[in-house]
Amino acid sequence: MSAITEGFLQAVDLIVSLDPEVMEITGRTLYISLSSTLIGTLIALPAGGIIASREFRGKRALMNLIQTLYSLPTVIVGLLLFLLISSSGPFGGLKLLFTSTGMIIGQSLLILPIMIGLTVAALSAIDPLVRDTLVSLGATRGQQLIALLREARYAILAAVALGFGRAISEVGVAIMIGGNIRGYTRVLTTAISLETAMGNTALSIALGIILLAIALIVNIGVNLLQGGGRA
Amino acid sequence: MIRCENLGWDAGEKTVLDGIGLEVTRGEAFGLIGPSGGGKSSLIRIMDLLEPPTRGRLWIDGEEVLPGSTDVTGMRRRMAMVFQRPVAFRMNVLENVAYGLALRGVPRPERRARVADALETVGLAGFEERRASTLSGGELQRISIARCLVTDPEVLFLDEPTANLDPLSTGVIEEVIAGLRRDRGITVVLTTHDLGQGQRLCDRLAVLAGGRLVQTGTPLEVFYRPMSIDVAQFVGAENLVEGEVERMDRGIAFVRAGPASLAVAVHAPVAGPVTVAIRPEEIVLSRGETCRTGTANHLTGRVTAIDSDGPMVRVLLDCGFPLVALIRRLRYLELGIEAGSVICAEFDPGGAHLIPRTRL
Repeated sequence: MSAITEGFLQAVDLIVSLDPEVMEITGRTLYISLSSTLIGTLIALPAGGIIASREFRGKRALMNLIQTLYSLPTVIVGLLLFLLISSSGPFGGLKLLFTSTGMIIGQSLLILPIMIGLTVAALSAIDPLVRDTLVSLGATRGQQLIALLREARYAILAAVALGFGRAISEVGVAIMIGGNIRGYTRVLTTAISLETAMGNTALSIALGIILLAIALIVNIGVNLLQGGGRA
Repeated sequence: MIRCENLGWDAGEKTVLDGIGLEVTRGEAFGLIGPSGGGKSSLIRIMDLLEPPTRGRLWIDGEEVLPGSTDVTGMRRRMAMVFQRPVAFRMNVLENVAYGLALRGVPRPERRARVADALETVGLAGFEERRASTLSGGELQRISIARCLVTDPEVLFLDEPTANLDPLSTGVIEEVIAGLRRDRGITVVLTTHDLGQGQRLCDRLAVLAGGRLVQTGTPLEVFYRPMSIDVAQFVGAENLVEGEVERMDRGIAFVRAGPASLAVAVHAPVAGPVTVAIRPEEIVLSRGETCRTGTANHLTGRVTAIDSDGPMVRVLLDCGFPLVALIRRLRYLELGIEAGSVICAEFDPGGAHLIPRTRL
C-alpha cells in the first residue's frame, strides 16, 4: 500500500514540477494521436458521407467488415504495417519504421474503421426529409454532404472523440512501429509499460494520471459541445 | 411551365403513377387532389425533380428534363418545395431561412435583408435569432415557406402543406399562399386531401386516384361535373342514383330511377344507363304537405336517420332509393322532423350531374 501512496506522491511531484521527460512524452503523445485523429477525420467524413448517401452492391457487406474492424487488434495493425514498411517490405524505402510518422500512419489505420462506421451511422440517423429539403433548395452533392455532416455534427464529434481515445490509449502500433525509443518515439502508453517493467512505478503512475486526465478533458469538452447544441 | 407526358413512376415492383399527362401554365395555382395513396406526393416530387420518373417525359419551362444532360440542380434552383412535415436544420431561424441563399452564394448582408422580407411575408418578422427547435408546428411550416420564398422561385410546390396543422395555422398559411399568387404571380402546385383548400386556393384541380389522373378541370367542373363515380365520391357528391335516360328535352335529361323521374341539366345529349350525382347540400327539404308529387325532382321520402355534422345536419331519406341531404341546423329545427317523418326533397336540375355508366 505504501509503495502505491509513495508512487502517487512522487507522480504528483513529477507533474507539478513539469518534469522535462514527462512533458516531452506527453507532448509527443498528443502530437501523434491528434495527428492520426485529424487524418482519420479527413478520410472518415467524406468516406462515411459517400457510403451513407449512396446505395451500391455490397454496401451491407462493407458495413459488416467496417464494424468487424472496430475491434481490430492494435498488434495486427502493427504487424501489417511492420511488414509493409520494414526495410525488406514494399515501402521500406520510405524509412518510416521507428518514426513518429510511421506511428501516425498506424494509428490512423487503426481508428479509421470506427470513425467511418460511426460517421455512416450518424448520417443514416438523419431524417430523410432533411436531405429532400436540401435537394429541393438546390444543394449540389457536395453541399448536401457538408450540410448533412453539419446536421450530424454532435454524433460525428463523438466519433472523432472515440477515434482519439483509441489512438491515445493503444500500445500495439506504438511499440511495434515506434519501438519506444526514448526521446524519439516514446509515448505515454509505451513509457508506462516500460517503466513498470523496470520497477519505476512512480513515473508510470505520473504518466497514467496524465493519460487519464487527457481522456477526462476530451470527454468533458465533447460533453460541453454536445450540451450546447441541444439547448 | 410544367408539362408531363405519359409519365409513370414505379416504387420497386409497384406502379405508383401511370400515364400522367398534364400541363401547369405559368402563374396558375394547380391542385392535385385525391385519396391517400393515389400518387399525389410522388407526382409532386417528380415535378420538383426530387425523383426521376420511370417512364414518360417532363418539361420545365419548355425545356425537357433529360437525366444526365440537364442541369438538374440549376432547374431545381428555380423552384422550391414545402413538405408536409417541415424540417428545420439545427440552426437559428435566420440561417434556416437563408439556407437556399447560402447555397447560391448570396453574400451575407443581402441574405439578412431578404430573410427579413420573407419572414415578414409569413408573419414571423423578428424571429431571426430564435432556435428552430423552439418553434410550434405551424410556425415551423411558415418558416419552411419563408425558406422557399427567399430564393424567389418561379414555381412553389406544396405537398399537403397544412395536413398536420390546426385550423388557425392552416388559415394563416392559406392566406400566405393566396398572397404570393396575388403579389408575385408565382406558379403554385399543391397537393391536398382537403377539398375545401383545393377549391379555395386553386385555379385548376387534377384528381389522382390509383396512380392515374382521372379528371382535370376547374374546381367547379371537378366538384359539380365529376366524370366518374370515383371522382364523384371523392369530391363529396354522395348521392349516386342509378337510372336510365327516358328522354331529352331542351338541355334537360329525364332519368327514370325507381319510382321517380329525375330532371338533370346536361350539356350534350345522353342516353342509356346513367348515374345521377347529386351533392347533399343541393337537396332542399320541406314538409310533406307542400310537396308536389309526380313532377320531376320532387321526391317524397321517409326520414331514416339524422346525423349531426357541425353546424349542419345530415338527413338520410328513403325515396325508393337512399338520398342524403345536408341542411343547416336552424332549417332542421324549423322543419321539426324526426326519424319516420315523411317529407319532400327537391333539387334543381342544374344541381345534379349525369355520369354515363358505359363510360366507366
